[in-house]
Amino acid sequence: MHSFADQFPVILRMLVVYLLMFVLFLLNTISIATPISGTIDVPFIIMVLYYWSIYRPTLIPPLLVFAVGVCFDLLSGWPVGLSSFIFLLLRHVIVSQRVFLTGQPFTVVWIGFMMAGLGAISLQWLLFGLTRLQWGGIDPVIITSFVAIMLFPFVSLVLHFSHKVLPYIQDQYSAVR
Amino acid sequence: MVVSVFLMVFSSFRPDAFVGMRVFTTDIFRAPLSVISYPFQQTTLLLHDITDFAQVQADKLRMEQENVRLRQWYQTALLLDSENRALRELLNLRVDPTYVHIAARILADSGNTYVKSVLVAVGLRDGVKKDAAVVAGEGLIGRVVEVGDETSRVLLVNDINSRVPIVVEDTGQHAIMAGTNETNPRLIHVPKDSEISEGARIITSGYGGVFPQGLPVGRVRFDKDGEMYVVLFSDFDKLQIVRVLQRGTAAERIR
Repeated sequence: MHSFADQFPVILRMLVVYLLMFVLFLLNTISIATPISGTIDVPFIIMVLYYWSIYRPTLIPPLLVFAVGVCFDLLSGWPVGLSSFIFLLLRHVIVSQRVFLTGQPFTVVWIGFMMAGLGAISLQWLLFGLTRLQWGGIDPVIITSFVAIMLFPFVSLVLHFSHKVLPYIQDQYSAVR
Repeated sequence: MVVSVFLMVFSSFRPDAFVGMRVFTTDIFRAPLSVISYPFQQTTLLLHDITDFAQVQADKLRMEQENVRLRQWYQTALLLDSENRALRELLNLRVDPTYVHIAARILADSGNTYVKSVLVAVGLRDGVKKDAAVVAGEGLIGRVVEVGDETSRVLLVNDINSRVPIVVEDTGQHAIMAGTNETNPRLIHVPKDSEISEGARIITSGYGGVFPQGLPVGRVRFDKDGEMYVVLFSDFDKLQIVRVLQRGTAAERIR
């Protein structure tokens, strides 16, 4: 039985990781204005889900992913359930591939993100159009995917640092850790 | 995932069912969204200021000349206003309802690729009601679609679901301004033989009763295919303070 004093550093470390995820969630919710091309949307949540689905899926249990998706839809004015479906699907696919992805050089992980990110963003566009029965141009999909792919190395670096503060936890995924 | 699909289908058929949850969530996230948006809003304004600085000298000269012209127009407007009131009294005309301006700070640009909207820091407590028109600086920017206790969501006129009845000022031609999720909305339902000219000023027609009549909107432009689009008077990238037009007597204030 661990005392609270023993647990406190662990809680503090977990708090750092979840706080970072919360900030990235908020950044995903707002449109970031740029001086050149108006506003851009950076899909930070997809990056976070991809990263933790590979390196620590226990941090993002399906219930949390579902709640994040619903919150995102409610804040963004999207049909409720759309994002949670995409996020859960992304988590499921990446967790099923983590045996391959864990331990691979970063380039391979990045290529994996290109495919997963492009797939998730395209699915967003497709489902959003389906719920409204009207599809906009494909340009936003290309721009958002490009921004996501370009920013992924930086975001994964930040997540990597937060990963280092996490305590080691023996769980169902530990065999491939 | 099954629950998500169910919610998605339900939300598509009954979007209004989640309005309460949306405004509740927005009210909860009001503070963190405001904090996270602040540095981005300030950086954008700073960059705009730097870009605009070169223009200041040229603008000063132009504005001095414009000021002289406006003084003449002001006198003319006073005369016309007095004449207008006299004629209305003569006809016993029912005057349009008066609108009060509720000034509001933009909390966050919560819009994205698929939905163009902003969150503002006023809500039911400030007297804001659904469908109120929202203007910023020089012209119309949208209407309130969701109202929480302390926050409201404004659907921008360039959102794909936005439709604004407008009238072209010089020809009196009525049309609908439809959002496309791109920067400039398009004009639809315009007869082929209309004589709308490039640069014509458009204002709200007041049809439908959502938007008050006479709000400045933008200017007409033609694309290479001859289709009409609208360059809006308001610059969405510089939005910081907006005004919600509300029928009633609420005092003007900024939150």
